[in-house]
Amino acid sequence: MGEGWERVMDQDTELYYYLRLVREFEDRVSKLHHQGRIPGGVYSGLGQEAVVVGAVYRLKPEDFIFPLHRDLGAFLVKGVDPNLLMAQIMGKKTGFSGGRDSFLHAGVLDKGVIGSTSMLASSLPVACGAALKFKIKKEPRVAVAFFGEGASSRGDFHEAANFAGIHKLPVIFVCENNFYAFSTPQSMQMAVEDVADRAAGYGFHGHVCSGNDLFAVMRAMEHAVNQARRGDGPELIECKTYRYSGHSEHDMASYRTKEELIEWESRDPIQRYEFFLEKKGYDAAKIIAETGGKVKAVVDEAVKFAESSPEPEGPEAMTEIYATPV
Amino acid sequence: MLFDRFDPLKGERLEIMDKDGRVNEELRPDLSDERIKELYVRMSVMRLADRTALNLQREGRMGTYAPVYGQEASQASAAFLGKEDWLVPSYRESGALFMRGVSLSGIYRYWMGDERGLIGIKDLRVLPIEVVVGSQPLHAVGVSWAMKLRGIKSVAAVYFGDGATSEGSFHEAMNFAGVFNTPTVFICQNNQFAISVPRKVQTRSKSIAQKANAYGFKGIQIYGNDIMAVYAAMKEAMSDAREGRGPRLIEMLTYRFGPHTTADDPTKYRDAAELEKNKPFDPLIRLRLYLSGRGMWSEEEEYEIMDAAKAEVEKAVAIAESAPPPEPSDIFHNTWKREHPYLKRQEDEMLALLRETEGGAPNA
Ligand SMILES: Cc1ncc(C[n+]2csc(CCOP(=O)(O)OP(=O)(O)O)c2C)c(N)n1
Ligand SMILES: Cc1ncc(C[n+]2csc(CCOP(=O)(O)OP(=O)(O)O)c2C)c(N)n1
Ligand SMILES: [Mg+2]
Repeated sequence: MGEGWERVMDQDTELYYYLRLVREFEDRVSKLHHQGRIPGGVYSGLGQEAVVVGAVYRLKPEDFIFPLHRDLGAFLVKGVDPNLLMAQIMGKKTGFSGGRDSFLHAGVLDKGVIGSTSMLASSLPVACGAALKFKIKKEPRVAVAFFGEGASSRGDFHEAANFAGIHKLPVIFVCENNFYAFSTPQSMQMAVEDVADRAAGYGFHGHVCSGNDLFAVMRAMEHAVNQARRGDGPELIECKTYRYSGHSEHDMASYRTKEELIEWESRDPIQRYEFFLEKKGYDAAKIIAETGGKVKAVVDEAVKFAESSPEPEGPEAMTEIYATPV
Repeated sequence: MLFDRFDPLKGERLEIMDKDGRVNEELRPDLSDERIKELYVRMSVMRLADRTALNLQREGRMGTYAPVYGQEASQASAAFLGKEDWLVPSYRESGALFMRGVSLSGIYRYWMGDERGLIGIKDLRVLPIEVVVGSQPLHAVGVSWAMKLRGIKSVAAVYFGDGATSEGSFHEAMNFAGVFNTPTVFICQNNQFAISVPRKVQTRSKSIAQKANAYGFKGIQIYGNDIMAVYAAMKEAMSDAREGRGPRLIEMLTYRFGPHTTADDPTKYRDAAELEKNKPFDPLIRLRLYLSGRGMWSEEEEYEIMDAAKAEVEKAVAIAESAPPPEPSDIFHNTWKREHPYLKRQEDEMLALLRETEGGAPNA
């Protein structure tokens, strides 16, 4: 959660701020990548903002999150400094990994953000490990692990879910079902309609919600987090959503139709939220304009910070890999 | 259809012949009394052969062995595969291999440390014994997918335990089978233990059968000590898979009366009372009671059956023990189709070492 001036905004506008911040940040990262100003791969989460905002917003600073490749928004909502995140993505010395890699492999421990590896779903058993520690130490903390529907086909998912079920771990599995794993459609990924159906095989509940409806995600999370904190075990929350961009910036997504994209754009999570603001009687136009200005300033500043940060020199690539250097 | 009628999510399970040999007539499958008698006889031989293997190991005449004592009816499911089907076993399938027609002497020889004992199993459409827990479901999906792609109506039946279902590879196999609709029958012998880990701490799922729902196909839980339930479930599952109606998962509830393997002492983790509580559910007792009620079993006949079984088993032991010991080099062969230079170097090194140390094979 953000600190400083954002905290004083009331919740409705703060939520909107995060939705917009994530989108602005994602959008900028894509543009910078196209301009060759970001090394390595970029996996855009445009269109999926409500999932990361809804899943992380109410968490406590001491809770852990395990984002995957499409979840840079989760970093922001958990309170990670946008400047440092941008520096990380640009592979700068000021980034979390000191320029050892770009994008989202690095975590930010003091914000409770655990980095991922390139192996899909490999962070789910790690989330169980963290949750087991919380349980053993009787700490009322939760671990929230993100993964795509594609990653749910991996054995790691199965072993993590099974283990979490047996030990009633305070872990929440958040599946971002955007219907594609790279070019593989869900129908060729699994013979069930809902990833949430898998939970029954592990003795806990699976919940399906619209990942484009911020409040639906938040309600599901509230239930799951309370349950986990009480010691009543894990839950799987499947958020149906859609990524607007290709799998990564080099993917033209020719495996899907324009109509499908348009249909999902009509269910845009941010527009949906703007309707809500209007309906609730806010001066929506004003909030939209003001927030737009704020997030642009934050992201401009992040880019400025990152671009003016030094590059790593090289030799440090050999350090801080193993606890005991080899 | 049994798979629809017995929903594991509702806690339902299939039992046809109860522990006292009484049959639920409404569910009675098309299994003649003669066939049942024959199955009883083969299962009796299986039990004796199993106990003999344990004894051989205790006497130092066999390396190790994973007994099937108590699981004979589940193991006998292998008798309900067609000739064209594939059997994909774990290490605990000596009984299933036996029912499939693999020679007892070959099985013994294998566990005596000579893999050549099972060299002919490919002709019986049996895959090599898999020890890496939970990995063989993947092999079965691959085999059955190949059959499907070639347009051959052949099912792969794969055996694994309750513990194996916690492995990621089980999940990947089940998922793949669901998506590609492969003709695979997953047979989980839930014998309540994975070595010392009891079933209830293996997964929080109420049944293993219900895990099939997560992959878009049907699962059923049955009493695996009831040969009629085993037959009925197998028949439906095999025909569903064969006809492309989808893979199937059968959870056979059973109980391992013996140790996990010859290197295990179950008294360390389960009390005698639990074992005793399960003894009356013995798969052979109920068959004996059933057959005796039909006038097809008597104590004298039991002696005859056991005498014949003893002769069959002793003969198998003799054949296995008289086989020449394997060559030390064999350990380097049969893994790669072509000679692997790295392994060849190791083999040469070993042979040189053996020549130096009086040249003999370290065989007793
Ligand atoms: C174990 C593994 N296999 C394959 C890949 C390559 N890969 C990276 S992302 C991806 C698709 C993932 O799809 P999904 O889990 O649905 O998440 P999404 O990208 O849609 O957010 C693949 C196949 C990988 N990173 N790790
Ligand atoms: C991947 C792997 N992990 C661990 C082992 C050691 N191991 C051998 S058998 C076994 C228990 C398996 O239990 P289950 O699947 O229930 O089958 P059962 O032995 O009861 O028939 C274990 C843990 C192994 N062989 N492979
Ligand atoms: Mg077992």
